[in-house]
Formats: sequence, structure tokens, C-alpha cells
Amino acid sequence: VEPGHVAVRAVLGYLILLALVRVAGKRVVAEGTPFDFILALALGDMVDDLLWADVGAAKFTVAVATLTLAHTTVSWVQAASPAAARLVNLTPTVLLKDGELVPAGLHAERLRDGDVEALTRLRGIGREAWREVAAARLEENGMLSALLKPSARSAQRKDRSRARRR
Amino acid sequence: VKAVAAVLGVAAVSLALVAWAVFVLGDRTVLVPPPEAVAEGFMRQLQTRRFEQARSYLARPAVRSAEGLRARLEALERAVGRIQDVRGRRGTVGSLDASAVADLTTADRARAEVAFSLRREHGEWRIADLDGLPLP
Repeated sequence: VEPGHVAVRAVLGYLILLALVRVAGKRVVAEGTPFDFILALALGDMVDDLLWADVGAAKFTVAVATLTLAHTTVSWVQAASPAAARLVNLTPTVLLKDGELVPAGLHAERLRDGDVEALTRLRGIGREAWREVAAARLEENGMLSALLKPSARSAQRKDRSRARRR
Repeated sequence: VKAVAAVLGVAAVSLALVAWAVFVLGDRTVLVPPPEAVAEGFMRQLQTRRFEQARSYLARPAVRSAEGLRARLEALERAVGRIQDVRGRRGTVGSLDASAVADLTTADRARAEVAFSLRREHGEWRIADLDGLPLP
């Protein structure tokens, strides 16, 4: 395998992927769903085949464009139709409600309460502060989102002006 | 819809550039798998008994049945031993014809080689005949 040829194929693969990911939107990698992650892995594997000349540049282009096109079309359809979105997307799972663990949620995600403790800690919420959490959900991208009770939220400008009026 | 059209546009432009490089500039080894990669790929498909996939490496007149390829592989393995590794090596590269060699390493570390002649079909190299493989 000639190094110069590998370099040309690497640059070509890089440029084609860069252009496709750019036009397909930001979701392909950053904070994506598990399926976005799988797509990114599949695209990376195809570059390997191009680099070592196992496939030609035309077949590589057709393969990566077809996968990206399918992904973009599915994203578009689910944005347009809530029913399609329910079919395609994973649904968020409630793990904490009113400061209490939700056993059904833990069971569904095969998590222990120690895992939830770690996830909330990453959000800056220690176990002792769970009582201030209205709801915490494991979102479809695998990240935890937490909604604090109104009493636990930091004061905002309208709260201050309301207090001053009193 | 704009994103879908943009993906199609990027694919069309990329394919046009590749076609220009292959058919106008005459690229035969960079954006298409070079002859040695084709010879190696073909022998690897045979080695792993994927005879249907191996057929896709053959030029039109050389396309054989999967059973025919199996018989050729068995004849080769009777002669040299069970194939363990394959490496492609470039021979000559012309505008329409090329040659390449598949260097084989057998299970008992013996070495053998199979020579192939190749022909360009639709811009890609294909194995033109199986004369390098022994007849069953």
C-alpha cells in the first residue's frame, strides 16, 4: 500500500464525511441518541475500507451518502410527525419523582439506586438534595435531566420584584 | 427536506469528482482498488469460503459458478495446503490490463503464489481469468 495513495484516500474520505455530517445536521454525533452513535461508528468503519482500498471511492460515497440520507430522512419524518417520533425514538424514563426513586424506572433501565446517585451527582445534586427534585429522567441520549421543585430553584428577577412588592 | 436535498447534492458532487478522476484523468490505483487489492480480496473470499462474494471480483467472461470456485480452491489447497494468510502484490498496470500476484501462506508456514491477470470494467479492476488456479 503506497503511503501517498493512502493520504489521498484519507483526505477524500475526510472531506466527503465532513460535508455529509455538516449538511445532515448537528445531531449525528454531539449529544446524539444511541442510534446516532451507531451511525457515527458505521461511517467510521467505512472510512477504514476506503483507506486500505478494500472498496473504491465511488462505492464508499454511495454507502456513506445512503446511510446519511436514511438518517436525515428519519430525523425529518420524526420532526414532522409525533407518531413517527414515538415509533423511532426511545422514550425518557423517570427515575426520581418528588425526591423518591421510581422502582419501575430503575427496573426498565436495569439501574441500581447507586447508579442514580452517581447520575444525579454528575448534575451537582447529592443524595441529600433529592427531596428538592420534582422529577429526574433518563433522556433518550442517555443523559439525566432533573427538574427542581419551585422552592429549590434560585431566585429570579421576577421573584425579587414580587418580594419587593410585598 | 433541505437537509435531504443537501445530502443528495454532496453525494452527486462527490461521485462526479470520483468519475472525473477515474474516467477523465485515468486513475487506476488511487480512487479504485488497485490490482493487488483486488487479487488479495478475491483470494480472501475464497479462503473464507465466501464463493458468492468472490464472484463479484471476476470480469464478465470469467464469472464462474460458486461451485466452480469451490472446486478450484479445493484443488489449490490439495496442492499447497490449507491457506492461512493472503497478501496481494502488484505486477504490471496498463490502461486496460494489469497483473497481480496473491502470495499465500499455508497452515504449515509454506509459501505459494497465484498469478492473476486483470481487466478494467466500468473503471474498476476485475480478475479476467482463473488460469493461475489449478483445475480440479
